[in-house]
Amino acid sequence: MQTYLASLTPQHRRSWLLVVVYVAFLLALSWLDFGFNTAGQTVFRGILLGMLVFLVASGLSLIFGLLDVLNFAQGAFLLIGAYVGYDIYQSLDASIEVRFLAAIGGAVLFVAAIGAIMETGLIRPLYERPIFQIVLTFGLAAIFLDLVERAYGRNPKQPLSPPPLLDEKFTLFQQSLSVYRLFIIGLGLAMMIGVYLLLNRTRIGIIIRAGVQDPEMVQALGINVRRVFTLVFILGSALAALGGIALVPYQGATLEMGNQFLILAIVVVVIGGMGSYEGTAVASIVVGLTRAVAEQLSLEHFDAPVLAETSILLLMIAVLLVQPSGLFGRGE
Amino acid sequence: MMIERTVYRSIDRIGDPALRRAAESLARLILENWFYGLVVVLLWLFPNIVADLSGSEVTPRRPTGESTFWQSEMARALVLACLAMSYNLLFGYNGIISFGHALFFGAGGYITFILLARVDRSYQQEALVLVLAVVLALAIFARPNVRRLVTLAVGGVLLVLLLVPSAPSMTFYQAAALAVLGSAGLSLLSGVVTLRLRGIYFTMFTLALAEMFFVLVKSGTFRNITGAEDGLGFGDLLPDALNPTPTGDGSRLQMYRLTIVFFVIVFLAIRRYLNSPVGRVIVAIRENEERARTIGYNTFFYKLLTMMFAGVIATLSGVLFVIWATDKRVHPELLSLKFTVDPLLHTLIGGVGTLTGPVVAALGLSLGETYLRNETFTLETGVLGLMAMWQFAVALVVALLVLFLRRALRPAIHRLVGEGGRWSVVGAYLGLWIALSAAALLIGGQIVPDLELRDETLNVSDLWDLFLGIVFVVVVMLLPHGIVGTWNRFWITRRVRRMERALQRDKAP
Repeated sequence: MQTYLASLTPQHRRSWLLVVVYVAFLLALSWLDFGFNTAGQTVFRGILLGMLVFLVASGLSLIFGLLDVLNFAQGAFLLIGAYVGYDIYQSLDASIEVRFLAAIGGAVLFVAAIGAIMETGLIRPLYERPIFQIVLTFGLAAIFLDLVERAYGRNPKQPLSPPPLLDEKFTLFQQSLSVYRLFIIGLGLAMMIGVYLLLNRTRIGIIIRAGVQDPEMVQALGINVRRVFTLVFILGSALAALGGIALVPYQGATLEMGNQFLILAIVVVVIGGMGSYEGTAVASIVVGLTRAVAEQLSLEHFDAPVLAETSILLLMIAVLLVQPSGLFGRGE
Repeated sequence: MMIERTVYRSIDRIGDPALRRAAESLARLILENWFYGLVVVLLWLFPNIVADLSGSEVTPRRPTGESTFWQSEMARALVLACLAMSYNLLFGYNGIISFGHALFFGAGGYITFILLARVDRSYQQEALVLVLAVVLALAIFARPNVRRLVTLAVGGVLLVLLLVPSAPSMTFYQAAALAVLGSAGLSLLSGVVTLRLRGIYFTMFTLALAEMFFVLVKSGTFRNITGAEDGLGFGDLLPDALNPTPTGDGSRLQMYRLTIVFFVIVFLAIRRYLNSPVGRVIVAIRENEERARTIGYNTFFYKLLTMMFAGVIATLSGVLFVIWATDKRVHPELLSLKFTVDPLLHTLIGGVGTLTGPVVAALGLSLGETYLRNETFTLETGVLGLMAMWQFAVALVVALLVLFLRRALRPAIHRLVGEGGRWSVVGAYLGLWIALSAAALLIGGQIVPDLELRDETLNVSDLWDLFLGIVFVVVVMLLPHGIVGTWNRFWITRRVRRMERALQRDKAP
């Protein structure tokens, strides 16, 4: 902890301070305004949302950091993950546990395969023309959305029931909740720590971090950077798909889901600073909390969720005005 | 080329210098623009041509026929072409990738009709306060050069506000003028905030901003202002002169011609803008912004100006698009991602940074969709029928596997064919593919029961977006200059090659 604090640049130290003050402000506001129990429920919901957003945003941030490609199809990956997982769950004829695990595995593998084909086939030839890469992912996102609509119809899918083990109830802040919500938070935390360890404790992680700094130098050291690019792209798409399938038992699947989470993830990545892993993790929680508190605020004081829908963008505008390269980005 | 040479040679023979200069500029005007003129004449006569071909009337009383239908379709396509041109101005000429262009497009219809239908006279005081607040906020953030723009905006707003009280209630034209001003203010404001951001941050910010307005307009909170998901009905608020409903007084034809005039004006305005010194600077910014700044241009100002110009054109297109809407409603759809993706597609497919490319793509794609909308085909006969068969999918997967595992397979293949040439290697891969596929199919046939092929009838309109997507990917990957760009390049290289050959011929003896 001491060494970490000492290693921070003044800008990052200020960012940490801002984050802590802001979160404390949110907590205080919700406690004073909603009372202890409702505030607790709101914060819990916020953390849950933050974890889900993290799964999409970490992929976005990793891919941008290494490949310099802003993958607008990340939201579509979440969408495909959700629908394919739903499909697998519904069509298998086995016990709920098996179906649930198969849905997770199948969806993640399917989307990872799409990611692999997309990176090697479509994005790799375009490294010479970076603008076209952005445009291509943007167009592909629209195509994926259309394909999903074509394959599964426009009607929203009802939430699936998770395995009985995760379907039990527990009481938190006088509200009876499904254990599944804890499972989502646990999943998000596990991924957060897992990717952190991958980046900081493994050889491939060193290569990725070096690639973020200077890909050409890594190439010059005799490492096949292109293969690492593909790997990171696959990892990012798989994380998004995981988020998608994790969402299905919680709130079902809708076609709007992809774009909703894409916008959230973009806000997270912008606030956290492009390509900064710790920034993404911190900003996910901040964004999740902001959204949940704003939702609760507009529920109690206004008759429609207008504050909830704009709060995050207002947050982003505020951060960009203070720090144009995000909280933990490399200042330029 | 031959004609040009003859014309200019005969002009050179004119003795009087003043007359020669006049003849030269006239000749240049005609020779450079005859094609555009021809297109405009064709567009102007288009309703009559359709009427003659289909045997319907140009301005029928009732029932309406082919000609009236195609008038509105063509008008809508022209409006989309204007939108695409404004997007191309940003993306193709200034190198700004904005994913929030739909915001300005939708703003046109919404501001106009909110002012007309929903704003009480008593609110105008508050509207004034709001405008002043925005101007003040701008004045705080503005850099020296922006102050000029702010002064302009303030002057314009005051002018319109002076105009407003003179009428008993606001007219459509005043509302539209306010919409244009409002959108200019909106693009100024968003530009001041966003253009400071570096490339990708800018793109994401614009996307988020537009999406925020989309959500706001769609949400129930402002139902009494925007009408939420149902949109804002305006029915009889449209002045008779601009109402394209075919009632028999020829107003649709009038409106159609007005749309052509608008289209021509937009085209000429953009061309003028690009050929002006400002236009040269924005192209320089696209090529190398650092360098433009080093030379001494305030790149921020030029980008802001371009953004405002494109925003105003998009807004006017939005107003026209709403006028042509069949159900007389302003829909939240107008603010959705669709109206950012469409001009982006049109720009890319037509040719980034070409003047006519977006127009060609917009007209071709939207009219093509209208023309094919009601066509149907059965699934089994098409390529999709093949896709529905799992055997095809298996073969495809095996082919991809072989392709991806090329490197791993290489030693084995080389051992197999020895020192054989390239074709025997290809043959070996093909054989491998066929063998593997056959094996997979044999094993699969035991497990998978025969799937029944559904003899499904599909509408072209259902698959249109997919088709667009495929065209888009193909163009991005293979035709980076788009249709018109590639066409231009083809002729230029041909001409250059001919000149080179001519030069060599001259040198030879």
